[in-house]
Amino acid sequence: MSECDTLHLDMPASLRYLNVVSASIAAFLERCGTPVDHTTIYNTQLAVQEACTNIVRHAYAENAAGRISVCLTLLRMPPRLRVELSDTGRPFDPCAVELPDLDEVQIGGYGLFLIQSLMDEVSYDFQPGCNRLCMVKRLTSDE
Amino acid sequence: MELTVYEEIVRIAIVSPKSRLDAFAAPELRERLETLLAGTNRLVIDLSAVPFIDSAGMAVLVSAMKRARQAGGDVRLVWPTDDAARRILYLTKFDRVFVMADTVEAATKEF
Repeated sequence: MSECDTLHLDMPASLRYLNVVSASIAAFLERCGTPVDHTTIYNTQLAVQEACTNIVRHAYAENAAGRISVCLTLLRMPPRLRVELSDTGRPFDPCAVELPDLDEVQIGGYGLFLIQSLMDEVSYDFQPGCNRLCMVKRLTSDE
Repeated sequence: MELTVYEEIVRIAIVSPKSRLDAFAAPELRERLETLLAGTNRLVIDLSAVPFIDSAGMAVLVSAMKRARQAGGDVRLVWPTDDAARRILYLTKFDRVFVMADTVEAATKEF
């Protein structure tokens, strides 16, 4: 697999298809040429799924017909997975949200904490008409 | 001989989801738990067969626990078998918020 090998998914912004994103990440990493442990795959799936859920719930809160573009790219030296999520909904910067106090029992707020904790790089960019969230995960062991 | 005998029966509902607890599945689980909590305030949620839990699934667990504790009961969790899922519960400090057990039997003991 070369550095320019990428996988594009264009999916409805629906919670129904979150499992498709997870399955695609696992399948992509299975064939990436680098052994990737289960915990690293799981953590990546979880962070990306949380980000997609935020897009559905916040960016497209008033637009049930929205779509999410998912782009997976394998980077080398060291091996990393870059995940770019793009949407055309309301701007929503997950990096700007205050993280929860985990010592207090709470019903919400874990999603952004998980994204920040489980990925190695998280950046957000908004251009008119397009939100882009970029996350990078090192494919070395999380064990 | 004066003797007073009474019997106390503790009702514990044991819920064992078998699939992903994500934002799509969470509303159904929330509804099922709310129905159960109308009949008992003690719940064991067995996560041993759950392969994946996201924040929406976790929110359902916390919501049920809060409601059960308000009614004088509790929600106890059985650890997921998947090690990666267990790590997430540690990371989010769920093991400090919930009474965690390795098996359903251990979770129901002295409830």
